[in-house]
Amino acid sequence: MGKAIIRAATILGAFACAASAMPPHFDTWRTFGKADGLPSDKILCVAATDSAIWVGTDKGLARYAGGKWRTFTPKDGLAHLAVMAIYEDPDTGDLWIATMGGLSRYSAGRFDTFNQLNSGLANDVVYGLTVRHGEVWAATAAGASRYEIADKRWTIYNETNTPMHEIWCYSAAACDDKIYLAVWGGGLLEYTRARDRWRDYNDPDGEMEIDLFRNDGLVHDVVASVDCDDAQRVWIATYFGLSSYDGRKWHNFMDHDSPLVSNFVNYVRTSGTNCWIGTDRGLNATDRKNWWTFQRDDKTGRGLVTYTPDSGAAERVETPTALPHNYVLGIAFSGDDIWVATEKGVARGTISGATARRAPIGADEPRLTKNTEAKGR
Amino acid sequence: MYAGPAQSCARWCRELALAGSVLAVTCAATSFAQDTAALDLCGPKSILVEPDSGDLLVLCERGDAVIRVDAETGAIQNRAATGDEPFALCAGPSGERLYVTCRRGQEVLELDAVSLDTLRRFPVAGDPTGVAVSKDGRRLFVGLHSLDQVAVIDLQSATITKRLAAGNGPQTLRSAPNTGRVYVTNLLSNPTPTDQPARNEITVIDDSTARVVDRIILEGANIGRDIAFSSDGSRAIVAISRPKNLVPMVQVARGWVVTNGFAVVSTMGEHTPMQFLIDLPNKAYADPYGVAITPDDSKFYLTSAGMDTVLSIDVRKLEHVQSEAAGGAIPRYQDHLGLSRRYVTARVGVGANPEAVAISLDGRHAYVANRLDDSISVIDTDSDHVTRTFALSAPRELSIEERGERFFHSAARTLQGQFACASCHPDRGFDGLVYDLEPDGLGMDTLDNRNMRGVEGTAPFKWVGTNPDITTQCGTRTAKWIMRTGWLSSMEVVELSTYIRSIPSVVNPQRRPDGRLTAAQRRGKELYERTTRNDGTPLTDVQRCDFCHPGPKGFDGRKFDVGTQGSRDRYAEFDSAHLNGVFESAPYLHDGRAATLEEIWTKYNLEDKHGYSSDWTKQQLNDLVEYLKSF
Repeated sequence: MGKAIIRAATILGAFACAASAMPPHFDTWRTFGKADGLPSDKILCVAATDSAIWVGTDKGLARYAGGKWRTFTPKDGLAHLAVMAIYEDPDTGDLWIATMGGLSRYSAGRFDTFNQLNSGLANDVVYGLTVRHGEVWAATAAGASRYEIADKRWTIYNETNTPMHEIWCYSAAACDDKIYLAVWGGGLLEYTRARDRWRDYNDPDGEMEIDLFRNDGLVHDVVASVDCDDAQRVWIATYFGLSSYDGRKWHNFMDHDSPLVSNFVNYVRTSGTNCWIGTDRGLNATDRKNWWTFQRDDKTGRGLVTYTPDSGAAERVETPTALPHNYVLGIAFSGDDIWVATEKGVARGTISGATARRAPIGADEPRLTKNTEAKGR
Repeated sequence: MYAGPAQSCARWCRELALAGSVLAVTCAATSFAQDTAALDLCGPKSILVEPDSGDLLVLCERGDAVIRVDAETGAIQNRAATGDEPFALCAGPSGERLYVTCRRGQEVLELDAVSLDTLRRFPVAGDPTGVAVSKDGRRLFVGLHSLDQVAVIDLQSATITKRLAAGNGPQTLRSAPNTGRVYVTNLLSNPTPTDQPARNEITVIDDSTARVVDRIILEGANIGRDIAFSSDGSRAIVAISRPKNLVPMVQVARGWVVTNGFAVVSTMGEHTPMQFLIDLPNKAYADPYGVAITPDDSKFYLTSAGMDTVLSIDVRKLEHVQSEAAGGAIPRYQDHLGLSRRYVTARVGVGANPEAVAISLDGRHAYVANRLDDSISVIDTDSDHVTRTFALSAPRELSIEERGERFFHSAARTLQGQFACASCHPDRGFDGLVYDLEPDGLGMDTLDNRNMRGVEGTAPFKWVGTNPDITTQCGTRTAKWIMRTGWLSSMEVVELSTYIRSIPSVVNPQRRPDGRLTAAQRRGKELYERTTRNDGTPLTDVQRCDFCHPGPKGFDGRKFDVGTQGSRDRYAEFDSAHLNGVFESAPYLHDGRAATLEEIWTKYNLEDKHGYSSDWTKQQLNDLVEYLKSF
């Protein structure tokens, strides 16, 4: 009987995903950490290319290819041990790496380093980056830098030439002809390349715990991450909730009015028209209507997957494997798999179709507490 | 001018000798072009053997033309004008199109392979050098020397779709048979600390994805020139030099400044490339340049552009040496001057400054482009003798400048023929290395090699500014300390300095064609010319950029102490270096300690002696660098 339920749930889940391009239901997780050859368990970011998975840790950059990990450190030419973000140039395949000691380009085995002493990079502390249209945009602790690859030209964007009233940039994303910057304390900045114009988006009410008028704008100015989906919607991670903006309307999500597992959102990554959300309490995915939540039950070490449909009751599935930690700092996709960077290792999520138990959420079900406290980083 | 086919060579020589003139062509066994298309000037830079006819397509660097030469008679069959200073030539996969890069013209031309008519022009800034076409004929790969990039041009839309990071100064691009890859040689070493050996890169591009997939490092090598492949594409030969700049140059007297050779690179699997020399213990073959492998892979030809020689290298004999070296039986084989006798089977004298070489379809002839002779030497590959020489232009008296150019590119006057001026100033520029040049003590006064492009009007010379003019810089001093031959005639000094003064600046891709400055460059200019600090405090003269670096070339002619005297420098004051082409001449400062322009101030101006920079914002430094790059 139990097996029949599992089978039915899996089939239904898979069907539902396929029918509406909802986020897939990853039910099997394999964790990689120091014991597997990574330089550290503290994973700060992850990226997938055609040939490899790249993981940034506090003790170097690691590449997973052919079933083996290889570590790169400053001895190999990497700018710094702490790797904050990784982005593949879609044109050249070169890897651009944001570190605490500058920006590195990894190209066919060669590292080139750009830092504030040897180049026009604004600051050595680089939190995030994006590469598009032959330009590298680096989000640094002292504003953003644009590097035009063709002309080797650097431009700094900070409080002197943009509406950036804070200069601590955390993340950058390209969306069609626009570049978005996540500014910690400064909201979201939008740059339109064709017009060479900047625009900022801020929290209209300035409140942390609440959104005074719902969907009136960015949920909060402490912005940690930004990404853009295939529908040209911008997704913004703040430490007080999640926002999305389609160019006309804002839509905000907080843990008390949506299945968002925590308001403390570290990271957003889009896939198609879905957004994946890394929080301090686990991993979310949404298409703005339906939600998935992936968490680890620290007591049992098992996974808890919650599906909350646009209408109808939420359902929970327990999986024998889980994320290694609920503090999620990065997300990447490789084929049908997801890779999740966490505080204690990087996890590869796959879809096996075999889930352990599925039941409606009830009072007696294991339930992880939500966190609404602001946490600095 | 050319007098007609009936005129004999002997008569020419006699007449012109009587007139005290110097001939531009080798007279012995020379055939002259037998049609009316003879050129005034050619400068054969690149040769391609047409796959159907076996005729030669020759690119004339100095004549700004491409010509078709009958491979049997040497007659010029047709010619077409190219852009300014054509450099490389390649054929499209169908054979219907040719592509020509023009360095000063800053463009790539698409030609009809039969008529040689120009069909399209692709503007490409950044000093376009080598060129290759993708197998499907859809993309063009173009090396951009000044920008250290390979531009990928989509031939359908005629647009540059991406820029690939190459090594330092891309030079030759060639598709390797059966591999789906394009190999790019680079003129200069990748940046290394000034006390570390050079590391020359071969950049490997996947033809179908147009992405860099490998970077092969040639340890200790510099000046990567031509590359040729075996018929199956499994092996490449690359012309290189191996500089000994880390050894104090007092070693010039002992005959060891730069060695010359080639690298053997396997294109299959992961094999460490091996390097071998072509020099003999007491005779060097400077400036290895062109490479061509015979169709049966039994031998290859390598030109020594500085010694007017082509070397014939037996592949089987080389493989024996390779095998021994790989097995550890020959320690330091890459620097071994005694090995070349084992695989170099002939050293064939040709015309002046032979650069390109190509093999006939049947493998029976090697055609050598003598760039400064306006001729092609034809070598019989069985006997390894020159059997004919095709003159590509009419005989004429060489100008003073041309004679200086020959001197500049010839190693014949240097001790043991080790190097020419062009060995350390390749492509009339610089080699990116730091030298301990004078016998003033080991490791004393190491100096960054300076750019020769646009050097006219930037006196005095030397980093300490002791030579008031080029004639002094390149005269007795050069003969004594560098060439170690002790003497140059007054005429030779005049010729050489005249040529050096004629070397033009590179076309600067950082400068708009209309001469207008970008917004960042304008801001940088304001900082460059500022007279007060950011807080309004007046600057002293030497705290201003434009006091020591005034004028369009940014130099003053005086010496200043900018706080860069090192523990092994005898002098504290250095010449205010001109800024002409500074965007491409890294490293910087007298000893090359600054890897980038930014580092001059971020790392080496802590006392504000190299201009007052303590109050600059990072944005101001960026603006200044943008302005400097516009010189």
